[in-house]
Amino acid sequence: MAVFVAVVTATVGFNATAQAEGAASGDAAKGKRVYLADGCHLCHGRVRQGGAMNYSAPAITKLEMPVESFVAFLRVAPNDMPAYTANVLSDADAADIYAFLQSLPGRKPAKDFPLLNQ
Amino acid sequence: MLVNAETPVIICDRLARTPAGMARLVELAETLQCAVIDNAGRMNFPSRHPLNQSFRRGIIRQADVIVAMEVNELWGSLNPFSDRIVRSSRPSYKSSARIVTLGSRDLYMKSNYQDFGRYQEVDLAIGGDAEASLPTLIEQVKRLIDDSKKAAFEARGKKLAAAKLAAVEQAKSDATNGWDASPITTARMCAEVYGQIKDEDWSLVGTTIRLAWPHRLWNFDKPYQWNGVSGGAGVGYNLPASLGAALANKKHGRLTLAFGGDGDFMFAPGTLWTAAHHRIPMLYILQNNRAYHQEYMYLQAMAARHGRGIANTDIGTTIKDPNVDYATVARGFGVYGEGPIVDPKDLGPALKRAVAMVKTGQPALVDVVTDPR
Repeated sequence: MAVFVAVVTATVGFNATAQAEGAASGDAAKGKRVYLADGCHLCHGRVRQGGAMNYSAPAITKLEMPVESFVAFLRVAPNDMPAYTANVLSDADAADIYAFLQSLPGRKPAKDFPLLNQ
Repeated sequence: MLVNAETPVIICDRLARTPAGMARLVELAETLQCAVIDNAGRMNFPSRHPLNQSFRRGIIRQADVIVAMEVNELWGSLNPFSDRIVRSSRPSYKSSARIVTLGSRDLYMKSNYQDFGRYQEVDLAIGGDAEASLPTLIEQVKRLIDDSKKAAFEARGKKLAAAKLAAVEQAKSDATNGWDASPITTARMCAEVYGQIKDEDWSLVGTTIRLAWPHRLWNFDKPYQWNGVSGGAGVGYNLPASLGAALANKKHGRLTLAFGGDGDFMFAPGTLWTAAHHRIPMLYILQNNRAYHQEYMYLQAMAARHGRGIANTDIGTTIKDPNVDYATVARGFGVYGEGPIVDPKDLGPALKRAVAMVKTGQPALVDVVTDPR
């Protein structure tokens, strides 16, 4: 078994111009609680930095899709990611998660981190 | 085939079995100026070599010739699959690609499906030891390369080198995510560890599941700097196996270190007593996510798949209530212990103290409370 099969570094995103107005309707603080309670962090990390199960679970630091697309994405979820149906995650909770994810800063310039330049 | 290919790709896994293996693969790759994807079953190829494309596996889609050397499970390397109710897979290579295997697996086939996984259709299967075959292969490749090929090879190499640089920069950028977070990100943990050992004669002999940060961020360029993995993904392997490697390293005076999961540690913690008793120096960095985390994720996936929520998926999969104090456990076995380290700012100093202890000839354990992966 390989130590690493693949590292997917892309953020989840469809369109950079489609920053969701829906983020404003979600509650970021509640979204953080749901994100942790529903185990999103188990694969994607508490600060949504990404992780891995069978393959890489991408970082979701900057969602470049509208909230409606985000909710639809969760309902069908690709590859190894389980689909989150409305039975276990309401549209409102999904919108809160979206707001939480949108509230977080993205990556920082690596040149500012001496430990990453050695 | 290799010389005439436009985009040849070498995939290797358990190739290098002696210190000569890495140098031979480097010579072949540089002669061809071709991409190498290292599955890291052994220390096959320098991590920062411009032709190392291990974190650009999309390049397999462009390959017209794929040569797999001592690859443990080739089908898995070439066919990503989705582990869902209806499993699906898709080849990650072109249908026109020629696939060649060179390795010893064909020589010891048994009737055990677990031994082989799924069969990959190949165009040419060469049974034999890949490392031993490399000098002949290199010689033949050099003989067939004429001047008309050299310019194309050089251009190919330059493209790969540029892509490699971009991949390294991407890795650094990815590592900044959650840099100051607590629990500590695995990227921060690995960067902090490298900061403490990079100027030593180090040897990394163990790792946790899917921990790719060392190979993304560190400079591995010596045959003994990576020990490979079990090949079977068995939990409980890492701590005792790492100690065995540390014993082998002891006479060379190398700084041996290993990452290990807390779940793995729970299987054979008495290994630490053996380390203390025999004075085997080893820095053991415990990636403590307070779970048998791979299993935890599987249960979560299964529960979500059936639409029943994940409220019960921590039963039997997490290691909390109470949390284990691994540094105290280590001290109980006579091993120097640091932790639990929760604040990333405390990690560098703790590692520094532990490295100093290891350099006196003693084992040391640092318990790092991390985010899951």
